[in-house]
Amino acid sequence: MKKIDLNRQFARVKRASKRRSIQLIISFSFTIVSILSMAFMTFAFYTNYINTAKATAIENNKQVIEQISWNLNSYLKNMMRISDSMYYNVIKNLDLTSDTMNKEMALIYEANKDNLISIACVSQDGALISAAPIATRKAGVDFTEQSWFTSTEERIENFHFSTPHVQNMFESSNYRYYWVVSLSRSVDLNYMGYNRRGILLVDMNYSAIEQMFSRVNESGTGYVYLVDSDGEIIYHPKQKAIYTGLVNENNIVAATYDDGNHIEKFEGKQRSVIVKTVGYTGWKIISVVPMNELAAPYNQLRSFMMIIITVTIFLIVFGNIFISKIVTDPIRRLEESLNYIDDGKFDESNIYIGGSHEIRHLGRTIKSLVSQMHKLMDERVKEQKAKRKSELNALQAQINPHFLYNTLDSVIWMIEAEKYPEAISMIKSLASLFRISLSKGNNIITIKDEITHARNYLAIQKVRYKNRFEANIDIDPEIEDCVTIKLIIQPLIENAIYHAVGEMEDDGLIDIKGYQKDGDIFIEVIDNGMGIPQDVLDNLLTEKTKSKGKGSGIGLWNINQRINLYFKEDYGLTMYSELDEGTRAVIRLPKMTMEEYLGGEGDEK
Amino acid sequence: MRNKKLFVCSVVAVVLLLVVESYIYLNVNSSKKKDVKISFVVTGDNLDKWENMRAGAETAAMDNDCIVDFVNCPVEYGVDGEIDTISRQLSDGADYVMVASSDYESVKEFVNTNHLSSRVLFVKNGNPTDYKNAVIPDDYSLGMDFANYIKENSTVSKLAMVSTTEDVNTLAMMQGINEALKDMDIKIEYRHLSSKTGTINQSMYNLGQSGLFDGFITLDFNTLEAAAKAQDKLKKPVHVYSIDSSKESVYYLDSNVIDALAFKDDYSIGFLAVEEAIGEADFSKLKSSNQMYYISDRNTIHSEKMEKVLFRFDK
Amino acid sequence: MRRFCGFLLSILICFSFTGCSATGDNNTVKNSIRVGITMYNEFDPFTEEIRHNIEDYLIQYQEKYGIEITTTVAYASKNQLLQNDQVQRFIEKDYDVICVNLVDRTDPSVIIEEAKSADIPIIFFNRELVEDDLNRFEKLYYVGAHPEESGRMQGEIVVNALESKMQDIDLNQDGVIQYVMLEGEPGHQDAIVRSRVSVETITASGIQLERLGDEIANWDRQQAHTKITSLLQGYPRQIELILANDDNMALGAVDALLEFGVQSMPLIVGVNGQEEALEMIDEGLMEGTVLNNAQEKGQIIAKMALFLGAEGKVPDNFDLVNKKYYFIAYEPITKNNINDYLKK
Repeated sequence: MKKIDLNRQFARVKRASKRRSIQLIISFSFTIVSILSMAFMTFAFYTNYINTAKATAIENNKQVIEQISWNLNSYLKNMMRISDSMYYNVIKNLDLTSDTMNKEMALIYEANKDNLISIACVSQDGALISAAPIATRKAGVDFTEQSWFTSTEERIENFHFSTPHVQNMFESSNYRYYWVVSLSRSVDLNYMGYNRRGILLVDMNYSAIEQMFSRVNESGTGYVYLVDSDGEIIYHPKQKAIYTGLVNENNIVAATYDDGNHIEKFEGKQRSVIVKTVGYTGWKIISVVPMNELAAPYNQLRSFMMIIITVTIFLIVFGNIFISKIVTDPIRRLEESLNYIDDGKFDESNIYIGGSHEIRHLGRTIKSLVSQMHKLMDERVKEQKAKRKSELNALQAQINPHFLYNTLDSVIWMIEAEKYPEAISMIKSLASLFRISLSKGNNIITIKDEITHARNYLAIQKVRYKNRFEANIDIDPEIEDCVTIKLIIQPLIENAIYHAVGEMEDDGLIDIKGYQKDGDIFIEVIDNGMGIPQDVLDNLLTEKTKSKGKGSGIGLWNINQRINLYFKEDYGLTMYSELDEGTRAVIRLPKMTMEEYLGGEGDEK
Repeated sequence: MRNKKLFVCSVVAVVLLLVVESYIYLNVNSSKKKDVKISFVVTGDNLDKWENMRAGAETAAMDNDCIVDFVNCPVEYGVDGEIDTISRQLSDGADYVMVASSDYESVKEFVNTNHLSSRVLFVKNGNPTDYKNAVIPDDYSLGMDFANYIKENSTVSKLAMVSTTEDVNTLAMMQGINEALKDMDIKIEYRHLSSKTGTINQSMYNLGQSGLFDGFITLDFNTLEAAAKAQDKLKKPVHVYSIDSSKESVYYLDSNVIDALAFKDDYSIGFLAVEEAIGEADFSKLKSSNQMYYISDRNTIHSEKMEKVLFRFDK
Repeated sequence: MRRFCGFLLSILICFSFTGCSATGDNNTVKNSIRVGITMYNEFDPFTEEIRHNIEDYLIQYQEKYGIEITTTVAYASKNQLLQNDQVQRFIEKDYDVICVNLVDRTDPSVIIEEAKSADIPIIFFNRELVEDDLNRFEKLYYVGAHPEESGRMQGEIVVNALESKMQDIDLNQDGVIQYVMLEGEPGHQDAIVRSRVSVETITASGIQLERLGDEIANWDRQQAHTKITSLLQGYPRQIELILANDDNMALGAVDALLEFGVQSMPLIVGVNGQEEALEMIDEGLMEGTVLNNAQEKGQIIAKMALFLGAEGKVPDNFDLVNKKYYFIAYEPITKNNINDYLKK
């Protein structure tokens, strides 16, 4: 269910992206570009900052190490000086058979008590010659087996530093044992001019070293430890835990590192290691900071940056949507307004003008284009209409020559039969007919004139058809002054005569009615002929069916067309017919007087 | 309409995201995790005896955001005082209390009745198999190992095993020693001594002087002290084998008063106890690989490793 | 396609920010090198002789190898801090190789660290630093001699001399040779080892020795003179042997003895083979000396400096111990072979 929904959503998005609008394109591409560039910048700055910060942290650690190294160095140097002065200033000048060095040794010891546990001079065979502070030699301890003793003999010209150990020379008091680092050197002892070798031992207080380091280790991240050149630990904050196997340290490997900083991986953790060698001893001070601790202060920065990024992305997305909306809205509205035109509604007032200068210009141009087009089209319609009118008028103006011939023939016949009054009346009628036909070229005449025209025509036709039909004209006098298009009733009468009553032996009846209804004028021509079949009726009002032969030749469609041309389309000619009953033609016209027509032409299209 | 919904959704999403991020941000800001408070309640009038354990605990606490506190409970207050102290520590906000009690059984009962076994851990004293989270050396195998050492490294034939206490640890040690010496020529006899200073010294002296024994095994600090004192006065010194964890015991070994020492490593115990409480990942391996005691004699006391284990570092 | 190019371009730009061009090739032979020499003291004739030889040979090599060599010498006046500054200045001025005659052989840390950070080779000579220090940087070298050897030779000269003229030397006819030791600077490896080995060599051959004095004269003729004069006041007609750690002090002893007007000169043995000492040997005032070949030392140092400076490495045919040490053999000089060495 959910999945389907998702699919549908996806499809919608896909569809939407296909139909991408300019706003979408702009906001989308702006967003992508800005997010990418922001991400890049953020990333660059962040990594750069972190790296600098890490480098600074490492640099700080380096300085700490420098400091320790300096302290340790001067401490060791101090110890060597003690050994030097003890040897060169005291032991060298002594004849041990008669003199002791106790006093001098005690003096030097007292002066350096804080850093020393003891000074001792031991002969080559392990006998204690002198020691400060004075203490009882521990029974059963063979000095010659201790590491400081054996190592001293290796290179007699050098000082030797041991690893820290419990001083195992003198009886301890209060169960207290001292941890020391032994500094030993080979010395020549003089016994009455006889040379014997000996060892001068300065036991440095391990606490002094421990203090140097523990002060550093208490503060800050990571820790610092000290190894000798073989990697043997001299100081480590977790020294004892390392010896009991509870904690491991990478000391053996670290002892092989060069001075400087290294990255090592130990027990699955990345650590930044800084190594500094202490002079002479080959000891190495090693500072260890876990990489994650190095970066720990920047976790906060990271989350802060995440917040900033989120807010910025949000602002960018919505800002872009907003901006693109502002930019593209005029275009969209312009486009929408053009849709109307597409639909064929040429109305320049609909065209949107707004937005930026370019779009306004575009809108105005389109607007002027549309209005021009509109004008052109109107003109063309008018032209067409006029043309059509003149065409139709011309058509309608033709009087069928047959009619004229027949009429004139009848007149001739009347004259020959010396029926002059009739002939005169006939000619009069004909003249009247023509006069109205012409009616100074006006197409619009009053109904009165039109009816007169119809009367004249009827009069002529009656003569010609020897009164085989009757015609009644019943016009509401109120409408006589209203306008009509000329020559619309006569064709209908003609039609009625030719197609209906003309063929009948007698009793032909043509009713012509004029009345007003619903504010319009209706003129009906009703005959009682045999009616018109429906299919013929349907074709009557189309152009192609011109009545052939007899009659004035003006088709019914002509009438309709003309009414339509001059008035609205709901005006016009309608035919009703029923077989053997008759036909009824109804003309509907707007009710307006000549003045109204000329003044307003209101209902004209 | 749909756009509006989308808009609301994204605003909500962003707000949610911001809330989450600011939560993280604030969390990082006050990233100092709450320190785990671990109190050690130990029997004794003097905390100095527990210095090694404290050093171990502090080493373990060093990079684990722990605060380690040692509270001693004078002997005279007895087990009730201890239980009081434990309860007080718990109510004072200690996350874990490590108990090295002289009366294991009573404290155990207290812990069981109050269902505190997850917060109260037994260290050093007690039965190692009672609780999974106890950090107690295996006294039985300690006894075995020590007896085997004596068997291999000395010529004693008649041993007196002495103790002033008969708690679960001592009994386990005795079992182990007896088990190891079962089928051997070495005769072993157990004497329970009163812990009163005058009496115990006299008893030890008498035992040594009687000539019935050529060696002692002292199972606790009191008998060790007494044996050391007796050693001075005896005409014919006897071999003394001790089980203890005090700095005095190291001194006696170093100054040839006793022959060998089975040294319970308080440092490791303290270290492991803290690790146990914090729940370090690879802890069980560490715990099983560390037996928490060492057997040392005059020859090995100053060896590279033993020296570092046995001798305390005093500033 | 164009987009792709743009992408490539941006990547290139990124790289150009982060990366930097590789360093140049080091194997090219330089046409001109600069050598800095710093001496612990300008008033030590022996070290001065070495310095002199180094410069001479560098000038020779300049023509031989067609490399322009600039040599600068600085004196530290027995002040290690001053020497540190001097080395630092050499390094700042981008010298190609630096030869250091340490003031304090226990304290070369600063020099080593400076050299290491600037990657400039250093040849230490005459004052041997401990191996731990020498191993701190692969471009540190030491040119010197085994002091044991000199002590042994010195002892042997005495033993040989005593074999023939024990009677003459043993003034008090007690079968024991009373001697005075003149030691060089405290802490100097040569002083410590020579003093001990020479005495041990003599006693090892069965001759009994008795020390009348063990004086530190700091390689100084004047100091040796003073010390011997005061000893002569304490032990007139008793000094039978003077073992001096170097010829300069031996000459001081000779000066003092002559001034004091002893009836018979004790055996005086020195080390180094200083020219004046050779003359003394020729005159019979001194028994002998051990040639500490300053000429060869200078030559070796000059050669090493040249190659280190020009090619960045020591030629393979150099017989370096542990890739760092070059030891020059000592030669004993007595009246027997004095002519081989005199005014060469």
